[in-house]
Amino acid sequence: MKVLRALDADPARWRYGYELGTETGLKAGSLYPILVRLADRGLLEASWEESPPAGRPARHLYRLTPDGKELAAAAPAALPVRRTTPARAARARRGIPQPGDA
Amino acid sequence: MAGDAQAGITRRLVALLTAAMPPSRRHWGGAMSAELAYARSRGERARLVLGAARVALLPPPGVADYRRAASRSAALAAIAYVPLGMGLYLANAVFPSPQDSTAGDLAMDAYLLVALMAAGALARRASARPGAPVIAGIAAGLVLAVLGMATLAAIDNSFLSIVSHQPGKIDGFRASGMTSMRAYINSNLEATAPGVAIVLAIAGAIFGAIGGAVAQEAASTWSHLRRHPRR
Repeated sequence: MKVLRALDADPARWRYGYELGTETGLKAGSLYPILVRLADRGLLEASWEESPPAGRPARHLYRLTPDGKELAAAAPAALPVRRTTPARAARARRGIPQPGDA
Repeated sequence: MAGDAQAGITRRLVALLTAAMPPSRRHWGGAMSAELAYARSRGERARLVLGAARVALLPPPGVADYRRAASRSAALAAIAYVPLGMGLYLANAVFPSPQDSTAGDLAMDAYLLVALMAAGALARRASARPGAPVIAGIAAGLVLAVLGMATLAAIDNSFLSIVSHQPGKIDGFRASGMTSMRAYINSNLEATAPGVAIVLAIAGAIFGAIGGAVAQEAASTWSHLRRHPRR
């Protein structure tokens, strides 16, 4: 639910796994199985980064499908997403570690 | 140097785990492999390996959804069966009637169809997979068939002195040439059970699909009304 809500915060934007992990507080070991299940249920669509940084591989990007947006809109607001400032989100997009990240 | 060696090991581990994933999921292994190139610490790399292992161990796509749909609808059918079972007990053992009640049979059939449609609707709410309401309906139909036949077997054997006065059973017993009414009733139940299971499974598939379609339509109408409330 945390992941759904994080994706629903800006549903048009494609997100990196690292960025989602930062926003939700979930580590990769938990985050990816959740993303896989969401995609299996038709709630998440995935794409590959078109212009990755030089010398680095293209990363997977994620956003909600219309069904995912519907489910996120219907979900109770019981689980707040970890607050992300614009600067923090920008650092996450560039892959820079955040204060407090393990 | 040690960091490079560790990064190489984690890359190979993720590649191995990716190979163990179902083909339709291997792009997830690619995603985690790409993230490895951006990982800054051993901990992050180890967690990506753990993520790849957990993805490799997930049931194949769809199986979990269908299993969940089937088990939820089976539970729903078991709950929905309680009044039906009570009805069978009352009609056969407590207030036995020499004639079959057409109104009672119609009410029971309508209730069964509503229960099968509810199973499909529940499955549609839980999963976007197109086959989920059909699987849920089949599971509900089979549960209702098993419980129904088990109830009839229990009633017929426990209240043999009452049910053996039913005209249909008397006629059938005479025509069967058997010497024991109990043996006749049980052999009749055994012969009928597979047919009942097949009919209810087919009805479950059809009415589960209808229930799923109704639920989907209702959900999209509700969602539209929430987003565009009438003034």
